[in-house]
Amino acid sequence: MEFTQTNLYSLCSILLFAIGLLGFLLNSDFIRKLLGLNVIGIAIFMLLLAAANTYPNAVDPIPHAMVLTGIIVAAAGTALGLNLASKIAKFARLVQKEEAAATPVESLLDNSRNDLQGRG
Amino acid sequence: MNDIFITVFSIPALIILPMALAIICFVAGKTTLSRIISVMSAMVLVAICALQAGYVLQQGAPIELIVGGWQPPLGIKLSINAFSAIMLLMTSTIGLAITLYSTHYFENDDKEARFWPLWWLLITALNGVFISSDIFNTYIMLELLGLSAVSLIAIQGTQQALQASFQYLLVGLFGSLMYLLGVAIIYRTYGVLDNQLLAHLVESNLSMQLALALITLGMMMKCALFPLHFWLPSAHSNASAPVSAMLSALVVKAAFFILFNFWFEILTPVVTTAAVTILGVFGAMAVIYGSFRAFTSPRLKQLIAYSTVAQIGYLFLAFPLMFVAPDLARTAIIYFIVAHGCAKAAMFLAAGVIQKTVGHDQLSQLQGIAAQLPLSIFVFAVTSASLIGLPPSGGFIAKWLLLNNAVEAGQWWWVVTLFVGGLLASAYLFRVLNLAFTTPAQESAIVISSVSEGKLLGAVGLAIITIIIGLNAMWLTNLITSSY
Amino acid sequence: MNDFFTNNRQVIEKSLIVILVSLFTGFFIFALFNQPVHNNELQALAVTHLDQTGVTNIVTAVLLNYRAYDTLLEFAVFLSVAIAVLPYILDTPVLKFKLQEESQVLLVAKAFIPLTIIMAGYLLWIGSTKPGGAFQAAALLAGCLVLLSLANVRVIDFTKLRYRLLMSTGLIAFLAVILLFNIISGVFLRFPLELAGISILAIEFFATFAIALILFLCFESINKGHA
Repeated sequence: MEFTQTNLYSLCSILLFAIGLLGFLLNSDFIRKLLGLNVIGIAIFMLLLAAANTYPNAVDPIPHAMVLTGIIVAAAGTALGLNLASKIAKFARLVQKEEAAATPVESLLDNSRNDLQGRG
Repeated sequence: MNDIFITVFSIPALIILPMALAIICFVAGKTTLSRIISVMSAMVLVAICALQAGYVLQQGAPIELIVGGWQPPLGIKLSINAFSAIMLLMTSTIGLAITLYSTHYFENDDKEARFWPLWWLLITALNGVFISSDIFNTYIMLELLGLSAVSLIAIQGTQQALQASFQYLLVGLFGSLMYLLGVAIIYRTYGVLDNQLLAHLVESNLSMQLALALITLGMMMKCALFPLHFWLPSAHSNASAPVSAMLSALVVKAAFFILFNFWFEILTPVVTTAAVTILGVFGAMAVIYGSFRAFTSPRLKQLIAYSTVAQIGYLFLAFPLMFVAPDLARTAIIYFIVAHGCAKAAMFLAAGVIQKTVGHDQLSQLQGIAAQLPLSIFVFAVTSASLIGLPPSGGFIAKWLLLNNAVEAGQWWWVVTLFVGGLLASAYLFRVLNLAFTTPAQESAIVISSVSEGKLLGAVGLAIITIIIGLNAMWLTNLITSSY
Repeated sequence: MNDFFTNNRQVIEKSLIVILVSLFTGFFIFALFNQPVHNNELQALAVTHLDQTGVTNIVTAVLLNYRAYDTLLEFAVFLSVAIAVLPYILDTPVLKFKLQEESQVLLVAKAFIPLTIIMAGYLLWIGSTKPGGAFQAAALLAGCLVLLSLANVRVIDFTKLRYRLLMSTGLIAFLAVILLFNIISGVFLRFPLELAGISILAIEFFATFAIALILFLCFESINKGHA
């Protein structure tokens, strides 16, 4: 393997992918997991673009289009994730408020007793 | 005339019709209008898919459409072969049954305004996955499928549903990113994205092994094969009944369809005997584990969701047999998908009626429900027969085909799994039926305000289909096998 | 011994994950550079067919001619997210477009918004010849809306029908163009050469507004927490 700019970019993208993967797997926080996924996505786009630049005189346009499409799709996924996270946080705040008001929360807990094992 | 319609206009219609419906339902926001046009278009889709399936199975050749006239590798090709034609027909049929059910399910609930557009986008994505013949296009379809499925769970609005949908979103995004990485590696190596062109170019080498491993990991997550099934029970049991039915019956199958295509159509040279055996073992473990967890589930919908985990396992049992007798194993897989899809959708719909009328789905408090909701329990019983694999049902034929294959291949250990799985399935399903038919200790244990089982019409239809495909097994298996 | 495992379970799990990921990364690097890169036939093909597309920017040609089907679905993905996050009932009342307080953000907004809108128009216009196009322009427009929102000017009531219509115009325009040409020529998703440039510009024009509005909706749904 010769040391070209393209190969350097590919190598960096793989390392970035590893960072994203670690971020996704090691954090238990939902938002951080989402960020980890975004880093993975960017690493993949970088890999595609690096391969597109193998022949600098004739840059392959298909990966560019794929990346443009991919970015939009990734943005959509992230937006949905953040929206869901904010709704979940709203529920959590609601529960906290009720606890602070010292009202019995037995009924609420009963509802949320649910099989969510292996979450995250 | 008819042929021109099928070959030229029917494929775009599968995408454009549901997409246009989604837009109309979204912009108008009127539930009555949405219901009427949804039912009508669902019927049109069934007709289109039936025509296509008839054409493909008779001609024995796939229908192909080159989008925009740009030949691959530059453009995208859409194609419908026997497998995808049957999947499309199943999608539209189950879609029609669930659409009929959903028109009565929500009852002045403001969720319905969001349900219809997302529902039609989900069907767009399912159709898209089945007709796509381009690996990058499949990625976009997967994302559309994943995001609309997540949104459909989230519109339920309860805390559990939101948490389950978030978890499902993470799993779905991770799965499709793994798939995209696989696609990126494939494109980097061969520079094409079309399925068939790729199949000609692929050789067994390290980078293709890596790509196949990544794609398999991603799709295993999305179709909830045993070690990666953790998200499925909460996601499927917390959604509303129509959504659960669609997720269990079709959405996991779409991921399976992609996985199957990659293993046996596109990256075939890379697949080794060891690899298929590993997937088979995962499948066997899924059957045992899923059935066991279904048996110990406290809630009805959770029981059905775990049963899906088990039934997905059966599909992977056929993987090792694909190396010995590919035609028979493929027919068995198709049979299994259709039988399970129809049965599981009908079962979730019945469970939805039970949950709606009783107000909960705690199994311990469902005693004597058969007297109040006879039709729901009838649907449940008929579909149970198919899931267990009792004789006149489609499930029986599917298992019998698998069993025949395994014995012929001399791989008897899969037979053991089939038997144990069947026994466990009968155990957990009879647990429900047993409870339903026992008279409750106190007469007024269950207070039911109004019983309306009219919406189960579609579910009854699906239950009958599981029996019909069992009764016409010879004809159907010959048709499917000969079309390859 | 058992105590050690139970007490340090998290640490052990995490170190296992780190080891597995590093092993995988090593294999990944090895496998990827094991195989040469493709021979770039597709690029040559894309260039030869460029004169049949009606645009001169090759990436736009891929996005809206060769692989226009992908772009159509990408709009659908975006719309599905919009449907999911769209608030059907607003918690907080919508203020009329009035510049009440002279906040710092508002000053910035006043200075930048007109410029940004011109910039967005320019990006949209050059999309067919140079890098640029609907998404870039939409991102700028969405930026304007975000700036207004941060200056506490609430301009959009998402419960209104007209905004739902505006959010789907990108997809509607695309579908309309496809249907029109499909009926005329019988080919799915092919623009006739003489009309290709104008149809692509029309699709991108509507898509710009749709995407900008959806991006802003995503921001609002998280920022204001109403849903």
